[in-house]
Amino acid sequence: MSFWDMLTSHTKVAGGSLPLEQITLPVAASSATTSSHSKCTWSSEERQLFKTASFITTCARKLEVGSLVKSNACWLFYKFFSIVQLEHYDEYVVAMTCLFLASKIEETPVKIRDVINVAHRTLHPREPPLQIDQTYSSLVDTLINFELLICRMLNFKLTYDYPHKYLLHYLKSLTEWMPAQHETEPYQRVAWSILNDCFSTKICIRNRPDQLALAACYLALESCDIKVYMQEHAEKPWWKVFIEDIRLSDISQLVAQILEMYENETAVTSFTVP
Amino acid sequence: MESSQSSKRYEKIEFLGEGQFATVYKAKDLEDNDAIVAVKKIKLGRRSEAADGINRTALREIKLLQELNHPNIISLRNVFGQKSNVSLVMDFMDTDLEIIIRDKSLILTPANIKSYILQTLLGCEYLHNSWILHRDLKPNNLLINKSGTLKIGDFGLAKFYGSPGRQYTHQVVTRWYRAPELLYGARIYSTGVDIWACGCILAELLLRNPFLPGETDIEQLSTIFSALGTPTEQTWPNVKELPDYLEFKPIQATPLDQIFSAAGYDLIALLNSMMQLDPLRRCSATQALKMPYFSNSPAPSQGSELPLPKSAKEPANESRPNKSAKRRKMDPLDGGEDSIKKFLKF
Repeated sequence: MSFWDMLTSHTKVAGGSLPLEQITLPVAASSATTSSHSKCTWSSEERQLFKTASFITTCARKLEVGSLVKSNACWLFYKFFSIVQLEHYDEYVVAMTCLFLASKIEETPVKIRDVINVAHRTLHPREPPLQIDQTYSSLVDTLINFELLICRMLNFKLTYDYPHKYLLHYLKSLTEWMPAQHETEPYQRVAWSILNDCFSTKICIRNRPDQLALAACYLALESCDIKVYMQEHAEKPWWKVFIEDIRLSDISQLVAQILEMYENETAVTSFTVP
Repeated sequence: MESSQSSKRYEKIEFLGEGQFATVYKAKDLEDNDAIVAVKKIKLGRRSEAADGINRTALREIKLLQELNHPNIISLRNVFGQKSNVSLVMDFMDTDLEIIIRDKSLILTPANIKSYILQTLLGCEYLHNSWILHRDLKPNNLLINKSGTLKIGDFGLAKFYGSPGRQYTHQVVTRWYRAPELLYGARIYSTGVDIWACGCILAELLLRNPFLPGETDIEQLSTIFSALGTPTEQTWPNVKELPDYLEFKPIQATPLDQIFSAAGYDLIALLNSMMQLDPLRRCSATQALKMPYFSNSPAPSQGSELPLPKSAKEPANESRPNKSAKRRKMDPLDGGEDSIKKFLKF
């Protein structure tokens, strides 16, 4: 379920409309929300990377490997293409390799055969399944060569401090603090989805993991129109409790990046993941 | 690319050994004051294995060791790839605890034993605080250098723990050091498996022989029970719920001070809390370190006072007149001083 689906389903439950413009957002972010919905601000390269990252997401879902493997794969993918130029490598082969490598790193190994078959099915839904022939075995060899290439290009730094655990911690703390009436609100799932969506773009490699998690949490609360309990009486804003050195402008800037991603995603409607 | 330089950075000195997944060489780091390092070259293996790409054991070591930094944990200095190989550069360690225990010409004083188990537990505590289970602690994996520092090595089976309800395989840890819950097929387990292994290692330091050497998994259980007694509802509640539970003919526990008659009461107390059958009653590494044994005299030996086997005493870096036959076999082209000039070829 995408962020927007969640938002709409939530508004239906609430029985009122919640247009995007009404979401209270920090100043810097509001400019992003008023910009045109149909215009895509991404370069063709960014669009291509986004498409391929969505392809990783789709394959990861079909392979049932979970959020962390998916995020790790997307992170490896964006890291790799932050070092090399897109036109020099086949982005889908890189994507498949990242998924295969990430599954091993996160201790949920997937067979190379399954990665190849799922990728083939996703890219060519109408074609018959791959036969085990020359093409297949050369694909296997390519993936194995690319795996080592990716490791070496990233200097064997194959994981990082994922924002997921920060988000989990923030949400757990907030849930325990908030009055019971908010328990039915979907803000937790919304925050989780926002964070996962961030791995479709460069946002995932550009920002500090704890700050990114906090921004996802902030945006989710705003989208669901939830105020943090007793906030007006508190000594310091709730986000300062989680990250001492974060400023509202940092959050705004991150939220703006996230909203820009959703705007662009809507604009890139010509592409649908099969 | 970085890797082509990396392979020239390390100058091969000698072949050290060969494991299931890797070949280890001793080498000199030309970019770090000629520091002596161990280069672990991961085998790509047969074609069937190659189809799996980079070895998962190697990935695990890379991923975990990059994040760890402690005096009693082996450190990963560098990783590089060349052609279709991956090589890990680690601290060079002169010997390991297994060699020391087996070398009957060495005398292990109570202070020596305390130093070894202290260093092991400190490393273990750091790992557990970092949410990592080693899952293969044994004397062979406790590496020791010339200055007497013990470092936990071989993270090929190590794993993050702590995700609620996450299931793990019970086929871990070399049998003699495997905790009873693993032998009973537990899929959810924790730091207790490493502590049990530490207990076995401590016992082995005292006996100079493996404490619980079982030939099969079932025999391993009976070996454990004949020393420590069969579990009862009182000593290990709910043991019968474990997947592979087997009932043994009831055996009374032999008091540990009868088995280890030369050990002090404080050491027996430590051993007793590390070797509780019920993993929930076993102490943690932190608790173990706070026990009186470590504050009582004798104080643990300083690094330089620890014994070293003959093989590790020889000065490194010199061409040895009597090279081992194994090395000659592995490296027929290698000869005398030329070997130092020879670069690592990967």
